Parts: sequence; structure tokens; C-alpha cells
Amino acid sequence: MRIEPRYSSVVVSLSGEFNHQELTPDWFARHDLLPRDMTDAAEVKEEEDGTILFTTDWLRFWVDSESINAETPRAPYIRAFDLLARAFGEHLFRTTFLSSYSIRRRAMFWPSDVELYNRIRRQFVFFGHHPGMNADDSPDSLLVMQERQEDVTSLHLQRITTVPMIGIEFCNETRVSESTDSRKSKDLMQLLGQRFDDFISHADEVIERTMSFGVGEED
Amino acid sequence: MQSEQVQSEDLSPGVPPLTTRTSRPPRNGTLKHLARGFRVVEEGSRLSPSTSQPPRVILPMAVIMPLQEWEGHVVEIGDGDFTVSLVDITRGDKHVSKDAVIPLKELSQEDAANLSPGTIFRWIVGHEYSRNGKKKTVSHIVFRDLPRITDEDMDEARERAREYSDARVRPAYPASLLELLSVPTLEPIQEWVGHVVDVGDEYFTARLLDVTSESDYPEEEAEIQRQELSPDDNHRLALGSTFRWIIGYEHYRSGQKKRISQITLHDFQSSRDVDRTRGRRWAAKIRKALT
Repeated sequence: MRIEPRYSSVVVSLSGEFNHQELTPDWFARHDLLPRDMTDAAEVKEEEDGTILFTTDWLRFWVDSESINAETPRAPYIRAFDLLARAFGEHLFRTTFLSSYSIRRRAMFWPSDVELYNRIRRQFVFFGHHPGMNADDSPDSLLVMQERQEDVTSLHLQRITTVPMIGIEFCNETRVSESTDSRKSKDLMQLLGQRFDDFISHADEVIERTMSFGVGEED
Repeated sequence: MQSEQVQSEDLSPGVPPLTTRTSRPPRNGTLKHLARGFRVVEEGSRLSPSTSQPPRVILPMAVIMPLQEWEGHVVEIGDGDFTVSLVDITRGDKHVSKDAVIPLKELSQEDAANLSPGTIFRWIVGHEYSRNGKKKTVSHIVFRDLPRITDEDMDEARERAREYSDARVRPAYPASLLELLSVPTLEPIQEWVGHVVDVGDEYFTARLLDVTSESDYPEEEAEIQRQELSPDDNHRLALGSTFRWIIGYEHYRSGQKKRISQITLHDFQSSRDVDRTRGRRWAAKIRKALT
């Protein structure tokens, strides 16, 4: 059987300096960025460090003084990019200093047993960096991450007591020079949008291959 | 960074030992965001008050992974269906590859009410994986909420157009030198900035912003012959390319004047029409130019 992801998402982030207390669901509704009924129904949390997080049916949004992030676990992922492109391009670009833009493609798998886990790990040894991605000068990189099982506070803890998670995260980051003016920042945002589908497509190729690693000899 | 090996793992020779993070993942020079670490909690569960990092990963109720994705625009709306042109995103297409007729009942009532020709959407067919382990195939149409052209954008586009035209009409060379070089001066009559929405073999379709008349009407669509472009621009023309189109007169030293129509692609071309290597070169050039 193919191994299926328990978690899969795309996160679009803008890093810089933000007046994050302002960026509430109500702010998004007032500026016609999200429907009012969606923001009214959003679950809002504020954490001790001041991070504001709200969740809607397709969007998870969190903002602190250094970054704003839109994440969606549901395709089409371009929605998360469109939201931040509008928020920045129409409202924030005059008042915000940006240091980088990034797109992250994530998927996580909980292999059912150690044998499967090891089979996947073994494959990743040969993966290295994805063809066309250069670890030295390219913002594209592949990183395999593991999460300690004790960190997982979930109802599904029983299923994963002996096998840790395998997580894949691709990050495409574009850094912005301090001398970049707001107009150029908007142009760079446009460039990032044009690269969005290509980036997701390359990341999905690896995720698709990872899913196929679940197919053993007995299959 | 503190780390420890998991005791129970039986890894094959040559496979690096499995380690688990007890603090943050390894830092990578280009992956600033990844260095922040993440925690995993279930959607709907309460966050621990002691959580020092925001929950970068939260298990959702369901994830949808696309098997097939198209970008489309609405061509025509009928009584019970609508006709669309589709670009196959999954296959990496750059141009419209097929037309389709979609029943209106595929849309929510709100989306169907707001439907209009030209509307851009994404259509995915994919697998939905629920948290309870169930999987089903879904088809989902989402209308894109693209950045809108603001008054500031209009002002800046006009300002850029003026800068370009001033630079062409009044170059920083002495008139005598211009005459020696026989460089004609340009008198623009009409200027647009545009972006390409469809590319055919002989024509391309573009949305145009009139920067001469300062019209409040934001955009119009036009079909333009590809032979209007220079060979180089014709080669790199792609969906999403932006350009400037000037119609005007060229004044020559001899007193002659010639009517011209000139389309020039901007440097910020779509990366969809170049391979990844060229894309990275462009990104490097832009980064260098900006620093």
C-alpha cells in the first residue's frame, strides 16, 4: 500500500517588521480580503509571545512582529499566496519593511512500522538534493525532518508509539535587500507568484515518490 | 544542539543513525524559517500555555492533495452550465490546452451568482485524507482572489510611462549628437501596459491598462499578432509576461516622421517559459541588482 500523508500543506510567509496586533480577522474582513462570515467564524488565539493565530475552514493564519504566514492544508494552494499578495500589495507594502518571502511545501507521514520507516529513510539517503536544486546558492532545498514522538500531543499517539514521523519540507525563500523600495518588493511578490506552481510541482514530485515508498515487495 | 539516539531503531548499514530533536532542527544557511522548529498538535486541542513557539504545524481535520489541477477562465455562461478555457497546471502547461463545459451546479450558490466572463479560477481533482483515516476523491473549483489594481498602482504606472516616454523623447544626448547618429525621437500618442493571458501560434491575448488616457476603466483585452514583437521577445513570450505597447511617431533628422507601433516585453518575464536554470540565473541577477 502507498503510504498516505497525515499532514500536507503549503505555507506562504512574509518576513520583516509588522504591526501584528493590527492584523486580526476583522482587519482582513474590513479590507475585503476574506469574507466577513468566514472571519466571524474564525477561531482566534493569542499566545504568550504575542503571536496571533486564527483558523478558518481552509486557512491557518498566524502573525507576529517578524512574520505573517498563511497556511492551507487544502489544494488549490495558490489561495494562500493570493491572500498575502493582496494583503501586502494593496495595504501593507507602504508601511512594512520586508526581509524575505518564502513558500514552504510540507508533508508528514507516520509509517505504520519500523520496517517501513527504515525503507523510507533508506530511500532518502539516495535522494540528496532534488535535481536542479543547489544547496549552496539556490533558495530551493530539501530537508528531511524528524519530530520526537513525545512532542506529539495527539489522540493518535497510540498509532505512532514506536515509529517517529517523517516530515518533508521544501522551502523557497527570496531575500529582499534592505535598499529595496516598496515598488520593487511588489515586483518581487509578482515574481514569486509566477514561480509558485513550478515550485509546488517540484515539491509534489518528491512527496509523490515518498508515498510510493510505502509499496513493499508483498504489494 | 542537544540530540539523542532512539534506542529501538534497527537501521541498515550505511543509513545515518536516527536522531530526534530535543530543541530545534539543524540550522541551514538558506533555510531561515526551518530553523524555527515546530510542534505538532491536533486541530481543536488546546495549546499548552508554556508553548514558546507558535504552532507551526497543526494537524487539520482533512488535507486535500491534488491529482490534477487546472487554471481556467470563464469564456461564456449558459443557462445551466458555463464554458471555460483551461491550462493544465499539473502537466506544467503554459497555454490553454483545452476547453470544457462545466455544470453550474458544480459551484456554490454564491460563486454561481458572482460568475462572469473572464473570471479566473483553479479547479482541482484530488484526494481528501481525513484525520480518521478515510480517503475520498474530491473535485473543487475555487475562484482566485487576485490582487486588484489600486489607485496607487495606476498613478505609479502613469509615472513610469511618463519616465519612459520622457527618456525616449528627450534623451540625455545633445541634439547634434542625435542628428549625427540619426537617432529618431519618439512622440508617443497612445501607451498601454499589458500582461499576457493566452498565447497562440500566431496571436496572443493580453489585458491592457491604458496609461495615456488615464481612463478609470482598469483593463481591456486585446488579441495581438505575434509578429508585432521582436524575434527575441517573440521567443520569450509566455503566459504572464508583461509588456509596454507604444503607438506614436518617430521624428527623423531629415524631417520625416514615421508612424510606429512598438511592443517591448518587460525584464520581469514569467519564469514559466524558461527552464529552471535560466530561472535561477534571473533570480541571481535580480538579487545582485537589488543589492
